[in-house]
Amino acid sequence: MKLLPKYKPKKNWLNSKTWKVMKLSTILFVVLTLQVSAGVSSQTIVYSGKKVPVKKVLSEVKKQTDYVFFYDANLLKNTQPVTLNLINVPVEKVLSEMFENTSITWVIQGKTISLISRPEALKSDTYIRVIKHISGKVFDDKGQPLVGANIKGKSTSIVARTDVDGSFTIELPDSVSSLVISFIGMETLEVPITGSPMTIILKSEGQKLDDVVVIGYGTTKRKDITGAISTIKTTEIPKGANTSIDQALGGRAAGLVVTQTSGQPGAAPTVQIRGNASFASYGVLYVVDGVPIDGGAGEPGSGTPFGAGISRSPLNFINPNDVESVEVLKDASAAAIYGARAGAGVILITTKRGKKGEPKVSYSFTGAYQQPADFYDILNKHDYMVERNRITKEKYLLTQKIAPYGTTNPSSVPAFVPKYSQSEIDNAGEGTNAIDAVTQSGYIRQHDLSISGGTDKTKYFISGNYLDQEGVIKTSSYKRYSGRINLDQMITDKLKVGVNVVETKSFSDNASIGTGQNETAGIILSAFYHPPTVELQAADGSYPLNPDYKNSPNPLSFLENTDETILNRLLTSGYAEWEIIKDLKAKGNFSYDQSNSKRNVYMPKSFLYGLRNGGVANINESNSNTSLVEYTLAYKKSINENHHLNGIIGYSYQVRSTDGFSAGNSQFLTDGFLYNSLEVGESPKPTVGSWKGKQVWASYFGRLGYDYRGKYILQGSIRRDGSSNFAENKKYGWFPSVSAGWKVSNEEFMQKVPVISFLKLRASYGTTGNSNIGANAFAFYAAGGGANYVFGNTQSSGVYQSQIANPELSWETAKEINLGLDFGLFNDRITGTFEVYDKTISDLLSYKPLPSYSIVGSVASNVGKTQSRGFEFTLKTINIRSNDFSWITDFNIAHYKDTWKERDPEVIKTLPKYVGLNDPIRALYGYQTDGILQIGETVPAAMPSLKPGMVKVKDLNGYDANGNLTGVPDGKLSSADAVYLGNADPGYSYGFGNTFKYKRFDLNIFMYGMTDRLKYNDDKAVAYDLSSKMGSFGWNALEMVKDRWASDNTTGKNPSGLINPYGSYTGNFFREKADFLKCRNITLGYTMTKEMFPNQKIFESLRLSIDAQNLFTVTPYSGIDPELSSFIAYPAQTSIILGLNVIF
Amino acid sequence: MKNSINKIAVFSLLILMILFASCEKDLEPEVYDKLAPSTFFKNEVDAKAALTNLYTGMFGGGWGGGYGAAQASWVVQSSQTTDELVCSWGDGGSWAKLNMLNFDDQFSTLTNHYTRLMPRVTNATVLLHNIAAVPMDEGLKKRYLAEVKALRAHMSYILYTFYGPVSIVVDTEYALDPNSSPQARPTNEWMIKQIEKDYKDAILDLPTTYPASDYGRFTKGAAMMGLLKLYMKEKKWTEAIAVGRDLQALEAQGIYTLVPEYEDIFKIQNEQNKEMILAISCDRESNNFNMWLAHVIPGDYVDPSGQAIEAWGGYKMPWKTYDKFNPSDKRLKQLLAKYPTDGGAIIDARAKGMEGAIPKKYGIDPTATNEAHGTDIVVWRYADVLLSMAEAINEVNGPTPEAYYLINRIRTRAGLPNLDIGLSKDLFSNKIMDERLFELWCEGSRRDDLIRWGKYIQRAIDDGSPFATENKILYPLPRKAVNESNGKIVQNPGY
Repeated sequence: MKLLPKYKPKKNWLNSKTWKVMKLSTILFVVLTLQVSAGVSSQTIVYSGKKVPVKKVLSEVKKQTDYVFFYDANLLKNTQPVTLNLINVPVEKVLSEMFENTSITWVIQGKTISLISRPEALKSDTYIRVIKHISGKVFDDKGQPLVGANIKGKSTSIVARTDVDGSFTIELPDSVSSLVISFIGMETLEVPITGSPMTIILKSEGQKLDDVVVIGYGTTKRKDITGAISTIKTTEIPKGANTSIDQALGGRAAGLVVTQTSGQPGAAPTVQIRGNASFASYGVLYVVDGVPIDGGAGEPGSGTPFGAGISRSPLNFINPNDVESVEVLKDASAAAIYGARAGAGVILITTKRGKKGEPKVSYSFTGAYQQPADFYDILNKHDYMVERNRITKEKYLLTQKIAPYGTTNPSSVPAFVPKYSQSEIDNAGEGTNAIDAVTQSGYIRQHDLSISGGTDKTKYFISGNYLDQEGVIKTSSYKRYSGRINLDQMITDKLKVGVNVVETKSFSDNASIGTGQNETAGIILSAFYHPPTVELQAADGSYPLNPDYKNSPNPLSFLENTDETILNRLLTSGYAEWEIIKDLKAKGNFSYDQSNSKRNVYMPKSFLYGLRNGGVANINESNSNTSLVEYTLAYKKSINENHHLNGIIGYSYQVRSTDGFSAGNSQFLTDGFLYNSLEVGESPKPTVGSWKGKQVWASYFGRLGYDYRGKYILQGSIRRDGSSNFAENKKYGWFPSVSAGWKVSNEEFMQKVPVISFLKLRASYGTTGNSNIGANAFAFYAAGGGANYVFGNTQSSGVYQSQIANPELSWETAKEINLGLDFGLFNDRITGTFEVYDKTISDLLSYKPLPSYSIVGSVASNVGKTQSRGFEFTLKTINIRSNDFSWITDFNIAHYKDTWKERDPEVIKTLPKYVGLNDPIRALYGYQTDGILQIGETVPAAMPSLKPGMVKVKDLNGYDANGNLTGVPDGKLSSADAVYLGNADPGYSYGFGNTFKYKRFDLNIFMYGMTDRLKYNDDKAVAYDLSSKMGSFGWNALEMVKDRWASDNTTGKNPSGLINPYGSYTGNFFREKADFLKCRNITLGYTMTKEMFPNQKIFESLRLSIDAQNLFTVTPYSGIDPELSSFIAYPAQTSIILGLNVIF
Repeated sequence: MKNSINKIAVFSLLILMILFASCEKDLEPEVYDKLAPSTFFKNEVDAKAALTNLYTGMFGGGWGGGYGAAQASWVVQSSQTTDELVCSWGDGGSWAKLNMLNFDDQFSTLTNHYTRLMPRVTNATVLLHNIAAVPMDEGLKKRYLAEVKALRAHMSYILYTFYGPVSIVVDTEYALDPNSSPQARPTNEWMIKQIEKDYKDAILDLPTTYPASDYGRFTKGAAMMGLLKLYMKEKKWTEAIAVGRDLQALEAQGIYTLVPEYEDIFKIQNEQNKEMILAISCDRESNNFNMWLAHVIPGDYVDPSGQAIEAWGGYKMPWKTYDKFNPSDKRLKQLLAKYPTDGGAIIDARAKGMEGAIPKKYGIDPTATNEAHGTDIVVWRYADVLLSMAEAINEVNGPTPEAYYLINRIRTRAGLPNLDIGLSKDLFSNKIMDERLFELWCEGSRRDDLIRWGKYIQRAIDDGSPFATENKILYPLPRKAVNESNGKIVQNPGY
């Protein structure tokens, strides 16, 4: 791709010399017209001397004229003293004599003479090229000149720097077409050379008030935004170990909560924007380059009990490296234009597009090494034997009612016989760790290549990506091939068309994580269960089972299973934009999103389940096709300097159809066929199934914006949505929004407060709708499933009424008020945003319970009203900004609370009495536990059969004859004793990042966390259920159980593991505070540019980076990870990622 | 210029409008997995499918209620709340709660029968109306209606025995009214009469047998048996004897008899045998499968046949109960105190410290690959008729020779000697109580039996329960049912 400079004859060089003078005079002219006060300098100089230091000459010149010099002191260090004899010569003559044969050149602007290093190429006399002289000025985005900015000819090593007033001059070979301007703390900018002088504005890095922000059906400038919108620039986040962009968003924007609930390769995090006080939410709506994206083909089932627990991000098909920016539309006014599916907020993803200029080729490689961040400590063989003896002994004491569980004389009953003798225990050793046997260190390899560029008419961005991840659980992996073409083409100067194509194919090997327990436990839980006394694999290759419970598969035998998912997704979209007349544009946008997911499963006879079924093969498939047609008409007009109008109206129609198919067989002659010859299986009843569904959305929308002198901004939008889910006359809903902004800093009175560089107040009110309740407004009968019954050993299909009609069912509507304050201080060294909001969702879509005798249990209904309130604060400070070093801090924090406001009276009637009518939406109710019963302690009156070492529960309340709470203990435990325990939502979520740049090094440290959070610790709850699990079944347990309460350890803080007859009340003993702070990334980068290697012609720049992801977590939670969903979740990983990025 | 702007704008708007309008009509719901009321309940096939669904009240899939093997099953609850079974599993203490009669309103295992069966009774009422309106073969229609009535009677009986009288919906108009509200609970008498009437109506129109492919449906004899159960519960001995005679008449017709060997009753190879009055027909690849063995067989059991059996090792018959059996009782072949393990070795469950004997009861389905076996589940069998008759006769006339004859038929099959003659009425009664345990253990009879004999609460007290108060004869209603009625429906006492 490298274009070699062209060499031209010498005469041109001379010609260009005169041209240079002309250019300089042009600059002077410009400067003069701008600065009227500057006088013309026509003084001459008289000077002579022998071997005079250059510095001395300069000060003499300064004395005789009113010129001042500006230069880097280093520049003159190596200059030789000069001998001059000058009488009445102009200043230019002095300079040229003085710096002849040196590497110094100069620029005169006004009364300033800047001395700069002469570009290297000019020193060389081996060849002469055509040189053009470019000059100009560089400003920051507040209009202040930037001193010391780097100006570089693209693809050259010729560099200049700006002087005190931001001016520069650079001499470049004629072939160079653009300049690269860089300054620490600012975004590097590449501009085509359009002539001279040039005026160049550099933007601060990161979220900058002048940035263009993508909004629904358009763009705007950040400073003009009136709703709540956060932007995340992907250049600022390390993506190395993330297979989809959503995984990288945690903590990056205030009010966006991303929780990584599974560490499986390609897993979807849960993504939530602000509070979520709806029960029928579609979840966050993703819009990629204007196309609303659904989850595509869902993950097909495996047809076995071990296949659940697989998680796939809906954004897996988008290569994170293709993403330019992510916009989070948080309040209803910002999201309202997306109407019916925007209730939970919108995330706009913009991919990279080509820019005018030479082709830019970029390659990057990422290699990651991964380990489970924190995983289960199970008992080793020795400890297992000890603990199994202990729990069996304890159970014996309880059954025989021997102290501390009774008064039986031990000698009157048969003595306890331990399972393992002392010598067996002494010789046991560590044994093999089953968890270690199913885990491994994982890796990610990723290659990414992109080419972009364009001309005036055609712009393109093409990329290809290959990702290969080996998971930390054996047999789990993820491979992805992805390609993208984004193309924009001007047909005429009025008509523009474009095409985006993204095609992704992924292959996943699914480890059988499962969600089952006991005999359907997946690979992790089976490893957890496996007794260390039983070897994992016998000498003959077989997998021994637990002799006390022959239903649990051997954990290692899971590795024999084949379970793969192949996903294809092709999203094509195209647009045509026609400028009908000036300011009026019509646009048509069309997209087709097709995806297919196929899962192939074979469980061989070497795996217990396969053995019992003679080998099980299943093929399940799901398909999704979504087509979108959108037409918009946009108008933009400035009536005069003061009034600016913009508006858009549009129509959108989207159809999504999904379907699926499954087939399976068992009883295979051999395992060799896998799932490739289903017909060979001899199952008397091979399985087969199919399904289909369809959804349609139709919407009209419009938006009108008005801006008065850049100070007052008003915007209104409206959307009319139709949904097939509601009955006639209820299908359509209107969703309007209005918002206003006042740029206080543009007012004249604010000019006297120079500290405040930007200040904007904004307020918005918006409504969004939700129709996500399925076709439940209508009466239907359902067939099959649980309605089937067997007569004469043959199953008959039954039919039952599955739903009753609700012709009144209609849109759920969210109304949101948002107040925001955007500010910039000290010339935007400190920028920030503060938002408060209040969102009310009325006519909540949910299911209303019908009376207990009704044939159908519940009916889809509008059941009440909820409220979400919260605030968000975002701060960015440029702590240090100098030529060589900069330090930028980002911080954001958010809080919300979702509560009930109103409930349907029919629903209230069916609520448990302990539920408060205005409780949080995700309120936690339960029983209050009261520690562990100690020996000699009085047994609680409500728990007469409680034994020492068991959890106590508080009797707080009772029912009267009418079923109402009495408020006083009634001497027994019942649902009356349940109380409100807290809110399942976190109190605060925050993110905190620091970026340091020193010369060519950059270092980023990013942390995020949540506070005020409760989590049920399943790990612990399961661990202490020992009596039958370890005692009878011989299952292994976690290390932590060693310290349980027992008759030989009466100071133990955890329950004894014997069966508590009140076990259904004791769960909250294991509810823990789960606040956390995670060190998400520490990234160190080193960038090499071309000028460091003058002799290579291959690359433009090269960046090496090392990133540590999930290095540590600070939390009081005692389970394995406060973010993971449950105790059998795929573990999160700590990753060390090496990255290489080359731009050619 | 301005004019042309307007023209173009208007033109563009028009195009947009046309495009919009063309799509509006597509906003109708399209549902592919359900039937709309406009297409369903039109013919005989629909009636059959709706009736099939009603039968699911008898068996709620593997884990649901009915005659299953899991905790939600009323067979299991009948055993676990009496002296028949205890369980080795923790499950949050729920098994211990059952055994100690530690019942409360948040114990969903107990309250779920109400939630499951109340809507099905209403559904039966609606079906009587709907099936009557379908144009179809009149004979078949009569039979379907009779099956619905028998099912309604049986489900009402289950509700009655667990909760006492409850507000079942038997009025069609009320059932069809979407705005109806919960009604107060009826009297015992009303409830009994309602069940009796449904059974009697059903007996009239039900066939005595079905073709093998319809096995599992309510027959005339099954409805009679349901009625016999009701009369026994209510100690209406004369009525019980009368309906028992009707059942004996069916034996005379060759419909029912005792199977010569006790263990053969419960074998898959011997399904649809003549001792069965009603069974849950099972197939391991369907919704109805038998999970009994998985629940009772210990994890280290190895069947001598070499077949791998899913074995979770939960239920045990306490040694105290087991020891009541005569060691030579042939029925102990299905109740294991010792069991085989690897390499033909035998494990002595008592010596191993197990809580009780293994109530294996059922034979193994040789095609079973997991917990699902295809062996039919017993609902009622003819031995129960004989023992019920013996009990009723003794209650009315004392231990008559007929009463002796009836109980001795059962004992003879079990390889036991005849009862000593000359027993007093009370002693004879005690013998029947024991014999019902020996014969009918783990078949869902024990709870009703102990309640009828006034021993249900005492059993729990004897086992050391601090919770066994008289009110525990009834289960609590779900709290929702009480709350939604605005005070009309009163919770059972003590909850």
